[in-house]
Amino acid sequence: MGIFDGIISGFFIALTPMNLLFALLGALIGTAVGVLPGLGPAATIALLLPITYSIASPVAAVIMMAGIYYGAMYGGSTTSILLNLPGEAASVVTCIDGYKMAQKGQAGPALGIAAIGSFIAGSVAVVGLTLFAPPIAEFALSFGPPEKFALALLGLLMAVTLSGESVTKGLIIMVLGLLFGTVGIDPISGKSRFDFGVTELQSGFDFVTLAVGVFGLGEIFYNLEQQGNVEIVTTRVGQVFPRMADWAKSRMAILRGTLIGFFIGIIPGGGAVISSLLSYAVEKKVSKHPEEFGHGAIEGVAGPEAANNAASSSSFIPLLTLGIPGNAAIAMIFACLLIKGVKPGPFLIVEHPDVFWGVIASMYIGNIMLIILNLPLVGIWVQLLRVPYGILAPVVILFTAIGSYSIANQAFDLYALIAFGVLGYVLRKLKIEAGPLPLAFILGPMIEGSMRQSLLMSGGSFSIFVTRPISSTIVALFAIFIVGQAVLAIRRTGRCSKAQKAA
Amino acid sequence: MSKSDNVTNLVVIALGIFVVYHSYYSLRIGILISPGAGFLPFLCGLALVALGFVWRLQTILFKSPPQVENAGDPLAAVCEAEPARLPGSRVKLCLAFAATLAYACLFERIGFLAATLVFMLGWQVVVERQRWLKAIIITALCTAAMYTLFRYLLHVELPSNPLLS
Amino acid sequence: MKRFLISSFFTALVATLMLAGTVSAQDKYPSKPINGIVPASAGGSTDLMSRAIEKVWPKYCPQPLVVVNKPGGAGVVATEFVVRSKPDGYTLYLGYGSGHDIVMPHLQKMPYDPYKDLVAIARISVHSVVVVTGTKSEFNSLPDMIAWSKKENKPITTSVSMKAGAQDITITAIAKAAGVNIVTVPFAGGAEAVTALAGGHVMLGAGHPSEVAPHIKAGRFKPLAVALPQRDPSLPNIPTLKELGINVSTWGSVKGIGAPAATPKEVVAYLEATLKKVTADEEFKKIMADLDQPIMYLNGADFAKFLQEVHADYGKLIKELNITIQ
Repeated sequence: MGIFDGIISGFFIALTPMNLLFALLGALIGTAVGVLPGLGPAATIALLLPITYSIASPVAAVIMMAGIYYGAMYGGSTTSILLNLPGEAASVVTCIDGYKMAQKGQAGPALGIAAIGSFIAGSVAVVGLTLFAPPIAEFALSFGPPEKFALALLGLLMAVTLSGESVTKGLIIMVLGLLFGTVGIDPISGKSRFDFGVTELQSGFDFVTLAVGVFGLGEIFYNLEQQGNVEIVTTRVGQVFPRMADWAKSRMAILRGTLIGFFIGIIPGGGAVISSLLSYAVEKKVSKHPEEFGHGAIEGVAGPEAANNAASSSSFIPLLTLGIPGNAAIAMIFACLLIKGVKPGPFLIVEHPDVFWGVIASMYIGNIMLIILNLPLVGIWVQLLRVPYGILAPVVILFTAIGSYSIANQAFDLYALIAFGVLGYVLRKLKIEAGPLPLAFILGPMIEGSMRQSLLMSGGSFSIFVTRPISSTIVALFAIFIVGQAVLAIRRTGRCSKAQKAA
Repeated sequence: MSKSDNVTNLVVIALGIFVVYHSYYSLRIGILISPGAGFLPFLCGLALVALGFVWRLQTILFKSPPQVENAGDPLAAVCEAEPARLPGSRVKLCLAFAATLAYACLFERIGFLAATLVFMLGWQVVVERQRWLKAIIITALCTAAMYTLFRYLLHVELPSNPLLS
Repeated sequence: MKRFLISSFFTALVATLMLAGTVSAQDKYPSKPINGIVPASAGGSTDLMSRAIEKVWPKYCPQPLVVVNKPGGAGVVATEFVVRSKPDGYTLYLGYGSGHDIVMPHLQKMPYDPYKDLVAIARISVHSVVVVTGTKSEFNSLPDMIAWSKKENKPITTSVSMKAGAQDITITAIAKAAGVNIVTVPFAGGAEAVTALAGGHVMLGAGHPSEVAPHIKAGRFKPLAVALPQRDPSLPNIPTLKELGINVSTWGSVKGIGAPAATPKEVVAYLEATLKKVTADEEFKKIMADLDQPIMYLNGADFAKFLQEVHADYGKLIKELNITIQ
């Protein structure tokens, strides 16, 4: 069966009333959990897994699960923009300019462009998924430890670009993030690090707890102290939809974000995060006004949001064609399929063409449902800011607490959440941009693990990083970036001192 | 810069020294071609110490304009120039923090439902100083909505009251 | 006065909530849903086995079994939670015999005794260690690869799911028994280790059948050996290491059901009987076959004895191979 026949048959499956209903259900639940702070798609799919036992058809079950996953990607930007609460690792970057836009009364355009960007990226990525799934899957496999090391290192470099005014402070925050990432049992040596005898710490911190604590809870604590100012910010909602000018600014960002997200997103483990970071860094580099980034640049929302949505679609490729789940949420969909007696992998397309094509076709439909669902919702979400802070704040705290608790079902995570909240509050007070912290937290274990794995593979020779084609390319990019940055810095200081002399 | 910067960069340096010490003695650094568990933490610790000093140097060398210099309370010093800060806001922050901490303590001990009722009511009455009737209405509505959402729609396994079940 | 009112209100509220319903009648077991604590995150092989039991359970028991994942502390948090919970049969430990029960106690101090503080109810499955290589590899058997390594004096790189886990220990034991240099490359979990081998980044890989069987069937991996004393029922065509002349066998990771030590005998007997029915169920057999997990039921008494043996075996092996975590 060719691709064309396949996708047509897929549409016949996906368009049956039952499957349409499950796609809608998935999109609805996904949007809801994306919007609910602290409850990510992986946790939701895990929670809803028992429900799928009673859904007879595996296609319907997976259509729903997939809907929850990419629906959450749409919804995830909402809390990032409105409340500075990243629901997922990939939307940390969205917080930085999105929340600044909301504070300036541009929550509507930010949400609107995020939804439009997500739709374009999601749809383009599904087309890519339909046409190129098998060759792209091989590309994903070619990322071994040395390639992952080089890529994660590049990602870390990009994370520095997120640091606000002071690079020194940004670097400190990044190092702090790396250190938080080392807590718990080190897989390479088996030794438990920085656990101070606490059993719960042996598994390390969870990303959601860290990000939601530092960003969301920290912001709430800060706002409570600033009560007088907050009222002004929250009542100034501004216009609801993006203007033509916003669209003109963001359309190339969306396109670039989509491409970056599609290719980097397929790399198992951390692909989506790195793609959103890369997109942000690229936008900042090509922009004519890079100084606006970090202060509410719409491209800084559009690009990364497109990237993480494209990545969420392309992360299905390793699952469907190789049977390799690339992240926690995809692993849950994998589990759901297995329980249903469907084995994802190279034989899926032969043994269960209905599942393979049905799910892909449902993703086209799901994306359309999501944009129809989300654009009108923008108006409603913006009204959320009108809820009195005395109710909004405790409710958000409750959501984050339940979200953190549900990850491992242990009360310890609530204390960790509060501790990160205090850290976030202190950073806010010191005017330090917290963005690099969660990103370094995700990238740190990748960098450390893959470096040590590479050295074990090569018997201690560093040549492994430059003799393999992909990793040497990334290392070269890394070097170019560093040199370029250094040249810029030298020029800038030269100009500064001249200006000072002139003054 | 300000006093708080001075305090914080000392904290950063101290943290760096601790991390270096811990990764050198408790973890194993290994060698460059075969790094141990303490390798990355060791580097991070060194980086923290170095960055702490750079920051300290920056605060000494580039003194910011005097109007930002806000002697006295180290935390107030870094606050944005805010004209409309209400007098009781620091108290409010502490109360909110205490309420959140109490919620974490009670969550598994008395179950989700009871803890949420206590937290919401406490927040409305103690932190927000709402009138009792309004506080009770808000608490009841929010708790009911949360419970329905998590327990029945999303099937989250929430801790129940050990005595109730 | 107002303060007093508020504080007394809270005291009253908490007291009411805590006391309400304590009078619930002591019905015949089970009178409410049973919680099954899984020491791993959702989606892993232990979780999938537990979900299979969860799915079939209602056919044989009037109350449902509810899977609760507690992946904290590499599984220790879950086991400790069960050990410290009320021994009333409503909190069970799914996955009794995992790495942190049979391997970890030899390497570090545990906050409980995994054998004295728990009662074994039944063994469900054994997840053996399967040694595989990529299809593109030039070697078709383990002895071939070992001979090459000795001749060329080059190490064999092998991906394992973690340091000092069942797979790492098994591979290290093979290296010692065959007198060959094998470098184990630990990853953060089985999925990552398998992916590294699938990409051809290491020469050899070790994994549980549920992790490697799909890739064997897909023609991506060549199976070389199983590290059990006898062949694995879920992969009957793969020879054991002993058949290949390498005198190594381990039990991999054991998956059974446990409960707090003080659980009443009749409750344990009820659960044991229910699990026996579950493991004999056709639907359960089908799901487990799809998951590539063999059903290897043992009753409580035999399972307890078996666990002691496995634990002792690993202890001996760890001492012989001088494995420590540092």
